[in-house]
Amino acid sequence: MANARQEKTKIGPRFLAALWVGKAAAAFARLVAPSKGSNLPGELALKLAPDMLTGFRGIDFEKAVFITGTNGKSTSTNLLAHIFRTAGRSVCANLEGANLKAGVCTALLKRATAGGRLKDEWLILEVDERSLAAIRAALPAKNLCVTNLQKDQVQRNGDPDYIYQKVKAAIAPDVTVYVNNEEPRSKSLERFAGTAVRFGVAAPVFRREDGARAEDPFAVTMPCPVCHDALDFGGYHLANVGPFSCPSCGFASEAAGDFVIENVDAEARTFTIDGAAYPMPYTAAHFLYNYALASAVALSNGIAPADIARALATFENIGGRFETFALADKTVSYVRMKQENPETLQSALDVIAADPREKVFLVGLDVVDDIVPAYSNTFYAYDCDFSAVARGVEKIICFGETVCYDVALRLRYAGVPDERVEIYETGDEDAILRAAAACKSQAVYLITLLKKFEKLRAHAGVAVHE
Amino acid sequence: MNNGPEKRCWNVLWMLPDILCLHGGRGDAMALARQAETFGACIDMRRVSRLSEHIDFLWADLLLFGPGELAALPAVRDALWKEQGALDEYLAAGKGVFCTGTTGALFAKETHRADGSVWEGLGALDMVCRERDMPYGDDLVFRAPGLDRAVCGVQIQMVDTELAEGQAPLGDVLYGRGNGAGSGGAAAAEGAVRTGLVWTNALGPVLAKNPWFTLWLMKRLLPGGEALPETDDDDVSVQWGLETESARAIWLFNEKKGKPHASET
Repeated sequence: MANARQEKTKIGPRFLAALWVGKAAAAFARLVAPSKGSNLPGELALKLAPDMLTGFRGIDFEKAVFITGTNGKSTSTNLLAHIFRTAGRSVCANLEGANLKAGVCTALLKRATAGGRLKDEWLILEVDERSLAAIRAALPAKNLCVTNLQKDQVQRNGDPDYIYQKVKAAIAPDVTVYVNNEEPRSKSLERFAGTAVRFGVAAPVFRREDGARAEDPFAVTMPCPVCHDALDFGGYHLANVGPFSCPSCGFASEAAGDFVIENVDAEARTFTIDGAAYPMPYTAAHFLYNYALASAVALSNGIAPADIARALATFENIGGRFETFALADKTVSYVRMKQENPETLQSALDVIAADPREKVFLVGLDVVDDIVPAYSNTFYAYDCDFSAVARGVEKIICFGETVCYDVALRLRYAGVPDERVEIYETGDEDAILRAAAACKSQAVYLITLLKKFEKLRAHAGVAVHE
Repeated sequence: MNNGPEKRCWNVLWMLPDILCLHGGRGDAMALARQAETFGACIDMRRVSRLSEHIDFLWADLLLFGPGELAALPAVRDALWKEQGALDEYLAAGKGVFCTGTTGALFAKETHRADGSVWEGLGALDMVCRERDMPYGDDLVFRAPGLDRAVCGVQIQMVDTELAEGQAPLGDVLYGRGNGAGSGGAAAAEGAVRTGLVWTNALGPVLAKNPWFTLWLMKRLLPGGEALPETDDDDVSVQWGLETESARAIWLFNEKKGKPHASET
């Protein structure tokens, strides 16, 4: 049933003008500048009609799903849309990561008729945490998924509680919230929603045992989001994601969530939920929570397990698996991470550490220049555990014009002997690649920004042949 | 301090590290231990893990507070209040406290939240904090009195801090925002200090990136610390090559940006 408020909305000439300008911009971008097509049309439309999001008609907000959180938004949104489409549902979605107001507006105007009526049955949107309350005020989706709320982009987000409050402000009693049973901040948001659906991963799968805590006297966890005392974790699937409890107030993960991934078989690449078997296209631990979230939403909304299985079998993540390039007799594997996001850096380090071969590790964290002022923050590396990576390396090459020494210092604190670390205070691709090529290990892992990876890949042939 | 036959050892209480756990602050605990070892001393570090846990102020030579969320600080304050004045006695005795980041608000007279609420701090530092509408992040370089090298870090500023007249800052800002908004020259102030209590906005972790600052702190805050070597000791400088190069590279980076002032931020 379509939302009554939307049906009664009077479509004014300004909305229509904005819609058509946006549609024209989308068509133009498709031909001339595809990279601008996920955001620019909405930007232009919103300039003409700032309240444009409230003007779209034909949206059934019971069938509107917002996906927010620190990590995993894009993958979960893409997977969920893929599942619904595989099951024969029509879906309007923003699948390219444009998750602010303009990106949401772009997704809607592309899939709206010339009169502003959405053509699709389902609306599945990735939404930025800071924009969530404003977007939900305009588009009151009844389903909200929170992947996790962790340390991220501190120059914008400050601390996790700053973002927590913004997400909390978007939750109302008429919302069904899908929460991560093993991520404390996400789980704690269920207090503010009318209905909560918990997704999770059963223990023990890919479990990083809490033994690390006993070995590392400097290991830390996190405060309870309810009472602020220290949380206990029974183990970890990911950094600060695992079965947890607060001895002070009793807040804890449930023994079993509503939709729990079990029987993970990394070799067969399968898992089960409620006894039904599903293919597992990617085996890294963080993907399990994407599968759990998407399956929870799909199963809660009448999608058959067989359709979910078919979708998982054909799912391709937007970020791909590893991206690799050849360097002399070596293969350079690029592992993605986000700056100022220790969880993604830790996941990348875990991937590298899982390779038992001796290897070369190229690391270029670089300055943070998303917003003004650019700055030299690398402290998030101290929130990560480098010890496993440190054990299996022939050489670690730290590069970059400003923060290469800080990265080397972090490695020293992780116990890497200085003689295994080379520092290149440069962004010169050829110099960096020659240093890697001179090592004897054939496995080379690279952690850096995407734009730097692309430059290094482009220079790989030149560096080897010179 | 336990003066053993061969090795000096200081007792450090790492305060609520699972709660005050932001911004790589655990690196400061690592740095204290490592730097002490560099000077032939040692740190016996124990955690105060939970809010309800008894805090053994008598045992401690130094309390280490890492950066935490503003939302958690009232609970931390209550945990310290329950010790019935023991912290006041500890501070009155001139014993050491080192605190970084937003956790400085814990020691302020009061903090004004963005929602209009006000909560009372421990009042050990004569200053008032005001939550910012938006976080502010940048590099931060400052110079502390008696320290011949600049201290280099970054700051993630959730509150602006106004020092009362007579409240000494920790140092003067060379680059960055320091304590932030304030009238006149207040923008140039960084951190605050009261006898054995030192608070800085600088993260990094600041003690890992600036071993000369770690030594400066140890000499001032730890009993018998004045016997530690001077920062211009040649042997020590050699060991600080990596940190020195880091400070140089970041100084060059900051020079290209110019110097922000409170009015611009």
